Amino acid sequence: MSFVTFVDQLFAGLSLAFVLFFSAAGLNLVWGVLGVMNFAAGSVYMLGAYMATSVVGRLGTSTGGWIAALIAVPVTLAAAGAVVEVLLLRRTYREQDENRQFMLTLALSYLVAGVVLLVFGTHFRTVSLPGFLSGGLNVLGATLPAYTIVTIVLGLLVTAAIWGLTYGTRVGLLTRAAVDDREMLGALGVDVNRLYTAVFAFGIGLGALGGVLIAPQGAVTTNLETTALVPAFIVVVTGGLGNMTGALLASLAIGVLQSFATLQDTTLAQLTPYAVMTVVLLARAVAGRRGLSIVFSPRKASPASPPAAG
Amino acid sequence: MALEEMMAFTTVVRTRGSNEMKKTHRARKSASKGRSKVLAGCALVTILALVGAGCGSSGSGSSSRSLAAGAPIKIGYLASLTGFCSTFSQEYVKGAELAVKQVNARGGVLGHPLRLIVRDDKATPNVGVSQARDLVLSDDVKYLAGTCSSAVAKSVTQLVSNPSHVLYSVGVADPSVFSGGPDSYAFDTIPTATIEGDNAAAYVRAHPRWKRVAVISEDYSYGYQVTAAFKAAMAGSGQQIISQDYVPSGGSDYSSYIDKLIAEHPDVVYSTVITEDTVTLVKQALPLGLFKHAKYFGILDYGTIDAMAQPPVGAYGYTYYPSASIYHTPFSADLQTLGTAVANGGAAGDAFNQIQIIAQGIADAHSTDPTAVRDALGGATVQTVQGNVKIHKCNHLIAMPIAMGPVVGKTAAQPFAHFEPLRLVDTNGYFKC
Repeated sequence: MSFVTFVDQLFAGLSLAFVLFFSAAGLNLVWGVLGVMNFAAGSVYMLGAYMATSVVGRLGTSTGGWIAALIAVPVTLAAAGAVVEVLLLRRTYREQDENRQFMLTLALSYLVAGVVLLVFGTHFRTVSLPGFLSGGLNVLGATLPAYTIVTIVLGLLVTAAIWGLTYGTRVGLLTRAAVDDREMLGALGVDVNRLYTAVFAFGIGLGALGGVLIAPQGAVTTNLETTALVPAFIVVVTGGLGNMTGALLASLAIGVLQSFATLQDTTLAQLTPYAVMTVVLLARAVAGRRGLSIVFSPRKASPASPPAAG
Repeated sequence: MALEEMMAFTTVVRTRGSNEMKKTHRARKSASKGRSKVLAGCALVTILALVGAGCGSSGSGSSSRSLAAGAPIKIGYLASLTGFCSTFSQEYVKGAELAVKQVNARGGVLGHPLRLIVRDDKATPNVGVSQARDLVLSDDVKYLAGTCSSAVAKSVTQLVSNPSHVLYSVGVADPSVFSGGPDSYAFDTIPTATIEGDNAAAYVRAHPRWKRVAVISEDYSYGYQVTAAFKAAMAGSGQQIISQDYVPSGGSDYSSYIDKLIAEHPDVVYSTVITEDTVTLVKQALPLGLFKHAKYFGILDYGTIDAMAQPPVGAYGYTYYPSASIYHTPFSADLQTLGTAVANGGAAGDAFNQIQIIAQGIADAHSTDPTAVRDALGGATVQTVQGNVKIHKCNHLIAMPIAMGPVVGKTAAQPFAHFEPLRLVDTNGYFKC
């Protein structure tokens, strides 16, 4: 393998890794804090991509149009997510019934898919990038798409922002406390309801951001829902349910390994996510038996208990 | 009632009759031997009568019940409204509906209007067969059309040829779907993967300076079949197929596949990646420089290349889908009423052809009996969006022309990405009957 090929495949892997990370980040956050496995995460991702095509279609493929899409779409869907959490999801916490949460989020995914078909139709949509992002850059002799570099940088920024929020702010402190003991947090006078709503909305916003970022990379279709959801689950399970660092590392491992595996056999390369997940789960089981903790360990997220009534 | 059902019914009657006879025998040990013989004789006559009726209802007999004057001819349409090709299946339905509307506007066929019954096969064989069976048994449908999935079509073809004897018009690429020969009730409306691969190989062979050929395909049966046919037809050309790679359908990121292609230094990339996956492949290949490193040649229908903000200008494409803008026929003009995007997409035109072929078959046979229609269509020349095209009698494959040419952007005359100059390849030479 030549050095140029190595660099090409490395960046292709990083590009895939951040596509995976963005599709999984929202799902992971909601699971980590709320203990809710959001089956509508793929739908949110798809809806974000469709809405991006609309916003950019109206405002033009200028930098301004894309910045507007990057802000407006996640914020709008986060607001919609907050409404869903308040009106629907919150009711399921009281019963502590994961089946209801599963059915509710699954129903929401069907609802979103139906709305997308009604509003956007069945034909795929495409949207292009501003001129300066549609070309390639020469890095170490390899040609890298400018947009891939932007995606990677944005991915790192978002990860840093999540870290900053989680470990550097009072909201993050409360969120971590909610993961450990929600009832105690409520007893201390914290409005856990509002915290849950904020976290769910943020998770939905992250998923939508992933959809906006994927939109210019290919065709936007209703298939995005399933093509995003399955890998997102693999990343979340591999990284450890609710473990954001684990999710990032899992995305990087899967993306980069799959990219290099493609050089050997493109069909077998598609099995990489499953292979990585299997190895990590086995390692976790072995480590668990020996009382060890590895970076890919799940957060201790118990099913959401009823926050203080309110 | 279909033969299968009738046989099941006679089996039940036979079993029940036998049980009854045993009970009678046990209860009335003193009954005379003669009475038992009479009962057995009656049961036998009943069974034979039912079996006879069952045989009579099979094959052409099931359709021999002539339609009442003015009664609609029902056509069951399998559309994959959900599943992997849902993105263009609504267009199939639009094309089928348009064809039915046009036929009915001309007074129907043999005085009967056409009536379309659309079902979602979910692009899944068991669902497709279940829907087809329900259409045949519950809705008394004698004509079926549609599906985007070769797997669904293969299962439905087995159902329609035995025992139902229902005519099935479908556009799928898998040649094994049409392996039943002249007695099959299935008719293809697009070139098979074998013809597509043969034609692509003929084009590559015509460019001997392309010494190194890389093939990239969809990772499902269509991709594998076209690749196999292409490789077989390239044998002995002196040109080397350096790789054959398969991308996952509906993938979001093909960068690593594209980088691999570039690293292999091919002279030409032959692609059978289709529809929205083509959009993703081309969009990601452009900034990575694939089109600078190698020539690109592959299936590129008008609907797909026009949907791209940056169509792959300079690439050499082909399509066997009936994009309305390529042909100048009465039916292509009809398709234009659906709007440029749908008319050029190919799916609507294919569905239009499927319905039109059924309508012409009924008219040519002067009968609504599917067996008579099958016999009329085998070897016939049918009117399609692409013009008059021959259906080969030996295999029911259709000799659709393949449109080829270099991709250019919008022009004043054609305000959408298209091929220019356009060449229509006569595919009759690829048939081995």
